[in-house]
Amino acid sequence: MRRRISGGAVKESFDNLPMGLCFSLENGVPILVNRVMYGLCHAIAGESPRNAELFWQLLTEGEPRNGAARIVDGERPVIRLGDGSYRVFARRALNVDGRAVIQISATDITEAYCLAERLRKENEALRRLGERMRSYRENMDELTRREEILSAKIRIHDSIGRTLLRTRYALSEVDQEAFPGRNREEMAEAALDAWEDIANMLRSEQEREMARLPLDYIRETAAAVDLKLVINGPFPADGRAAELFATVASEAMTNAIRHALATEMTIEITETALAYQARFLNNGEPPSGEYEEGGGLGSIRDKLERAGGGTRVTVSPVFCLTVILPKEGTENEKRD
Amino acid sequence: MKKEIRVMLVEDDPMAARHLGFLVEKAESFKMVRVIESAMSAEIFCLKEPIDLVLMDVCTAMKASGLEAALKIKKSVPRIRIIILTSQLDGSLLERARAGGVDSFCYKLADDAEILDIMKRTAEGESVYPDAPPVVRIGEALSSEIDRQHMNVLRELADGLTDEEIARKLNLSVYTVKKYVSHLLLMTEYRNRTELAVAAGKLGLVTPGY
Repeated sequence: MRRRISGGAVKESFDNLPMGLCFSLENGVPILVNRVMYGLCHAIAGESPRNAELFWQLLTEGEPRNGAARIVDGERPVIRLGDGSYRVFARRALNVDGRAVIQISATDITEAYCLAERLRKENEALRRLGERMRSYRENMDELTRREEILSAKIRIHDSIGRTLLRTRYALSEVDQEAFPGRNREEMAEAALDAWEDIANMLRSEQEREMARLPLDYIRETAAAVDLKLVINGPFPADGRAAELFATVASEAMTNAIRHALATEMTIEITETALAYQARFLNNGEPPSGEYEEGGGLGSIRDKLERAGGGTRVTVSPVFCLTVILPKEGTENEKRD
Repeated sequence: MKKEIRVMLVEDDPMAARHLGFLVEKAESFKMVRVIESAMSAEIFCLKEPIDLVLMDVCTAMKASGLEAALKIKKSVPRIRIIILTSQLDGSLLERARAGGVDSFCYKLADDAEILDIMKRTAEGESVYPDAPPVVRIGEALSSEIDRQHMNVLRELADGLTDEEIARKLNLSVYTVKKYVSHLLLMTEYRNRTELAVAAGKLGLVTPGY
């Protein structure tokens, strides 16, 4: 049986497609436009589709109307309509019986776009959370130290209480009866020892208050191992840069002594608005043969790269380790 | 005459340093020859000074890792005996120390007699390791219930990495990372990943960066 499909039936099916479709001649004159595309044209251009090429220009370069807006540029523009839904448009050139026909299609991507947008927002929230965690971890050491100080103070307080009691026993004739077999001198000796311990603990607390800067630390280390340390330029005062430079200096001192039998190390530091640069040189023997990075320098390179910086080693005429570190808060600083 | 064991202590907490100092000085055959706050200069002193035994904290001043320093010292001056002495309960520290040839490992929870015993045995050539870190409660879970992969994810989470970054670093899919984080939240009953990460860091279950 031969089935006949009328033109009207084809148009009706075409109109009922969920996607918008428009076929036109190369000059933009519409040949066939379905109902969905017709509605989209009104929603975006504020008029019926009179010229498909002009409509495409509006989609890709123009300013959509009726509260619609282009969200994604390019060959597949995404338009958010006034009702909050999203459509992606595409344009294709077809060849129909030797005649060029332009097809413009519109697909509803509201659900997918909203899901992607939600994912993006969630990822952004996670990234911000990650940054907060990083900051928290950086402060964790300090928090831990403070907790330890608090517990130390509690210990000292308890210790003072116990020792006061012991001293009272030692000084009291009456309480001698409570400690049969121990004479007054022994009790006094024990009390004195306890007071000495407390004094030592309090001195420790005072030392903690006088925490040294990274630069003091490396100066003391160099002096202790009889290595002359010359620093030219501004060594960072405190913070991450100071700690990282002290770490590099310490590793450089170790290598200078171990490999080069050096007696002097020089650190040349320059500072710009964006970064610090430091060169670490020593007066020892430069490496013979090809230089191979050891574990210590590798670990330092990792730490610097995590902070957005880097290292470079040259071995001739002398061994020289160059370190670059962006200042905190600058654009170069890397958020790993 | 019995040889005196020369000890270097790497400890940034003055209270703990003072306490261990007393302990060493009161013990026969040990002599404290150097106390430093940061592990970053531990190796240089080992190279320059006659040190026999190092008591090494893990989290030291200038954010220097005592474990990393210990591994370097075991390579450059292998005769020096090293004991890691830490309050961090991160099981990976134990594994890394053992794998890197560190002689002994001791938690600071140990009493004085126990620490002295480990020092003596280590100095005599013995290697003393606990079987596992002490078990602590994290939320509604016990630390022993968290397996290695979940602990690895927790460590990176506490370091502030996003799921994508954790996935890249641990060579897992993002889906797997999300699944592990969900498992951890379910086990511990913390309300969110921030609470979980903060608790893990405070308990010393994970020590990112060390």
